[in-house]
Amino acid sequence: MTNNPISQISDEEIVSMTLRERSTFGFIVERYEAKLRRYIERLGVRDKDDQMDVLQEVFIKAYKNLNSFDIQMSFSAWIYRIAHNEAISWYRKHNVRPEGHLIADSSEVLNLIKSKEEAADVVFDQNINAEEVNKALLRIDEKYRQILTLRYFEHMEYDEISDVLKIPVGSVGTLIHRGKKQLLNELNLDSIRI
Amino acid sequence: MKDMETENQNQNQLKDSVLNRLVSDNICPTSKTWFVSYDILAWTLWLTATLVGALAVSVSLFVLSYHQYAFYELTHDNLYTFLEDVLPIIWFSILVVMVLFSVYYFRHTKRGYRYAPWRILGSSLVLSLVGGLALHTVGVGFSVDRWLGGMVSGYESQEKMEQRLWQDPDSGRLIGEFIGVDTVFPYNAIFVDIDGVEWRINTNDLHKDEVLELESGKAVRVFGQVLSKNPTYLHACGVIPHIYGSDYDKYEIEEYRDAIKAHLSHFYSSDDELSNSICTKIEPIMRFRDQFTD
Repeated sequence: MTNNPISQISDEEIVSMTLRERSTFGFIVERYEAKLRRYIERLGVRDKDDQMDVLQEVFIKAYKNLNSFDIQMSFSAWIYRIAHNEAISWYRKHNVRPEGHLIADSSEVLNLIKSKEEAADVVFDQNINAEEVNKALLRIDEKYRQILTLRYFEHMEYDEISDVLKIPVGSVGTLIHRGKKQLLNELNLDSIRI
Repeated sequence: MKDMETENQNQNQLKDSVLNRLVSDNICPTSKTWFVSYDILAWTLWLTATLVGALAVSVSLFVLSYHQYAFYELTHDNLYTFLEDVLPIIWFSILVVMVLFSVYYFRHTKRGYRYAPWRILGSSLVLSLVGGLALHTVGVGFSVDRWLGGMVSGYESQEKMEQRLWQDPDSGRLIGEFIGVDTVFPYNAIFVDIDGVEWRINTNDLHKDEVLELESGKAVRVFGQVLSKNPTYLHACGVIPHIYGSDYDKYEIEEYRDAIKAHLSHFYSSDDELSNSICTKIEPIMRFRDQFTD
């Protein structure tokens, strides 16, 4: 993969190439399939076939709307926004409650909990049961779960999150702060210490 | 190893199915013009909403400044009932709705979502206020109010409101024009009100500036005591310019208001010959006196 010259080309350049030659869009699919699959799975699309359907729609929509991509924002945020919207409309269409499947490893979860930004004024023991944190994440409000997912599992910057969720940059920090507070309330600290 | 193979297979499968569908359904990227047009539309709607908001501010400012010279004491019991009657509630409502619209449309521009709604709300309001002040300064508020009054029957322009408040012979208030002097009684002016009724108006108690104003032939407001309805005869206590029928500027009106106030004060000055006038007994003058003696 790293030896492939296409990996040296930026998303924005591939977009320009795709507008001239349709087949180049395959590189976008290759580049984002795994990330977006993981993301929509975290948002609640768990069945493999459903994921395939949703992803296909995501990429078709991305292709149709390529001309709306604003070169001043990151392509990653742009395509995540499409995936986000598509996942939400999927579970609305299927009338199911979005139950995220936070397939995070312990280091990701620890990262979330130990994060000093917008600190929730609670000092955590480092020995934390990731399983419990995952369960707590599933119990918090959807809007907080979405934003914590983007921040700590997709490792996005605030302005990227703002672009994905279409909310003001200032609100991103506030929502993360509140989300973490709610998460802490949901966590039973005694039970998560090993 | 097997997992990696499956993943690669899935990846190729998705890529192939996406590319095949693009070909089979002949899917093409939507034209850039469409997206640019959408953005331009959002900006245009935002601009329109802001402009209409500014227009609402300019008419409101016109209405408010116009009524500074309205002599509410002559038509209403107190300032509260007067404000209740004349405050441009409809324009205030339009301003609120337009500011909300401009927030909505701004949020639909390409990067509008990045800004906090309260910030957009604040800047839209400030823009409308500043724009409205500018429009009011060049007389747009006045023109819009007059134009709407002529075009829309349900819209009460200041002209119509003035007529509603002032063309009320039972209360001794008339709007109309001087058409001549009674040849038998020269202190009686002949006056036609906006309903086409011809009046004899006793001008004995008017200040000389008021007589000049009346005889200028411009539309004026006259208040006093109706002495007879058949034939129609009114004892005038004051003459006030009717802005809509004339070309006064607001400074002239302001000066005139001061002159009228000074003149009316004679009606309740004990050492003045006017203090025995019939005018001292009419309600508007008494309200004026109460205001001055408070």
